Amino acid sequence: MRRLADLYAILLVVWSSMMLGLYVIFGVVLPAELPLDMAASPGLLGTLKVALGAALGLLWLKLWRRLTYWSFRRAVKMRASDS
Amino acid sequence: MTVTSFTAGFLLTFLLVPKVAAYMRRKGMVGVDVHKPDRPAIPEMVGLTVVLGLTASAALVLVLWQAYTREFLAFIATVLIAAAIGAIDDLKGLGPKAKPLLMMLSSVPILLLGTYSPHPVFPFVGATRLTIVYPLLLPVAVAVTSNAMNMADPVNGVMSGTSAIILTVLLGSSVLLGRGIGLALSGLMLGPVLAFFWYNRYPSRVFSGDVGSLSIGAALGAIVVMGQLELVGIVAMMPQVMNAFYILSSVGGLLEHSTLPERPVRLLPDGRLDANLKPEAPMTLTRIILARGPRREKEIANEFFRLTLFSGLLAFLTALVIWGFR
Repeated sequence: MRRLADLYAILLVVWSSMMLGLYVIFGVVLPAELPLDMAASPGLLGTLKVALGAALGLLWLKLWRRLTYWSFRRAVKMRASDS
Repeated sequence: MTVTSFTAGFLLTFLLVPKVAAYMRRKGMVGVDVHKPDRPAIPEMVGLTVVLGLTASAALVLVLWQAYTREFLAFIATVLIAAAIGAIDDLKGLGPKAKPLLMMLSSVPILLLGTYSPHPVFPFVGATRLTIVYPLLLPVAVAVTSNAMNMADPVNGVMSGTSAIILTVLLGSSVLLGRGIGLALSGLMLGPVLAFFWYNRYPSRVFSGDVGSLSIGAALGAIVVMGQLELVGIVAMMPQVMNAFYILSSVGGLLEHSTLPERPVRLLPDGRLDANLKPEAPMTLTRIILARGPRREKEIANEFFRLTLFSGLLAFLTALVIWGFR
């Protein structure tokens, strides 16, 4: 398990960021009311909210991918230094 | 009811596996275990027994209790459609893009019978209202879980063993959150999967084939949707979803095994497996596990089980948070 500590840490980061992200999307972004004339165009406001939610989701995936590649390269380096 | 369906499914599948395996061997339906130095031929498509055991025990439950009739019918129909697509893929071969698209069809019974709730429950915020988006996302969800399980079968016993862990987590979470249908379906599925794992564990005596992995994956998706366990299911399946995501993002889309530029792992003469360190090799969870050095196949399988147990723990924690914020 110690050999794969990075992988367990990534799972933990992905899980906690997902919980936080879901709270931000469903607890803050989607119920948000903007004090603008946008109330007149609820369709536009809805689209903006969904786009923001999707952008957060994509950012989360990117973070996940970066962490994994960093961990893989680190493991390969450690392997080289071990041998 | 859950105990009866679990026991019936387990016993039936346990008795069926040797018979179906012998039949497949006679018919020449065998696959080479490429991770063994002697490359033994193992009976393929034996995952069919999970579908048979599941269907028979569901029929028994319906006859004895007449409970959750609509949900059981939707569930069985979903698994049967997935199994049919998997069987076609095993026998004729489906393209890498056709398989996920076709798998979306397996969710049609859930949509038609209306056995879902468009109000997924999330921690901290409770039930949400996704009446328009939910039915559109449902086919995608079932396609994702089935293909993720299909991709997460890298070494002996991993697909069936990790499925059993995920089902146990879904079962426990259903009890905690009071989701009767989630409990009934997880119990129904767990028996056949555990019986199959007995034969599929390292060193495998049978292979599931796509008929097994796609139907088990679709069943997991259906349980998650029908039991309103969406987030718990996603967290429990994180290693499998991670694996699929890494493969897709590293090869730049859906590709057939044979067209991959490099294999992610290689077999050493001493029987151990090692990561392929060439940059063009696809990123998989097995390759990441092997990045620090070569390991035996059984050790890799155990690592998959530990990772799934860890994500299962996080999934149960998620269920606890949902329960706490109700």
